[in-house]
Amino acid sequence: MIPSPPDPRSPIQHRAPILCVDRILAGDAEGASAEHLVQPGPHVDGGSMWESGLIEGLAQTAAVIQGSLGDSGESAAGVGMLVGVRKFHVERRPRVGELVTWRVDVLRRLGPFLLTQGEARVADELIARGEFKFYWEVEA
Amino acid sequence: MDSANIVPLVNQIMIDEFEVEPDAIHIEALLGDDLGLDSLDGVDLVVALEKTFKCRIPEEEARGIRTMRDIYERVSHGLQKA
Repeated sequence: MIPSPPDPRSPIQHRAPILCVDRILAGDAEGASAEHLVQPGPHVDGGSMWESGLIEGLAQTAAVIQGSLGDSGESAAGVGMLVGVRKFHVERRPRVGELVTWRVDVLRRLGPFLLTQGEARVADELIARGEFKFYWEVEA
Repeated sequence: MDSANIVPLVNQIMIDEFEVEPDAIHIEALLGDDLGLDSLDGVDLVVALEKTFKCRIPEEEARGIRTMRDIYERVSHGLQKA
């Protein structure tokens, strides 16, 4: 079976099992939040999500911000990639069955670069935070 | 804030945020060739400067930063407009 291509209108092009966003909670040009129920898969080892999975979830949430630009008519969402992670701290890895909330806010846009700060929480508990830099090629 | 105050604060940002050796910092130092910063660091640098000095560095000015002197001047300019 040939899988159908991603929906170009979707801000997040990932599919399961790489997809780390189950539901988008909010999103505009300045920030976005989403949630993900941790389940067994490539992001999980020993019953807990890898640190790389936390970064992936935050990066996918950041895509919602760029997607909202297209919705607002400011520009098309374009194609982006995570190019840098700084000040990344993990308090603990979320366990299978826990609902993680991702929150990403824009610190600065500079040319094709988007600098954001992000955090992951389980309920009110902060489990990870950091700064994430994206290169975003916006379509004219 | 005058330039006498700007210089040590900017230099400290370079040391703390980008692990630049204090001895390498001088007014004509090139951020890339002399201090080892790359284009990705440039975004972090602008954010660090704006956060520290509570000013806004316009994108066209940020793009022109090549040396430590450029940073001091952009920050000074940004503070005057703030």
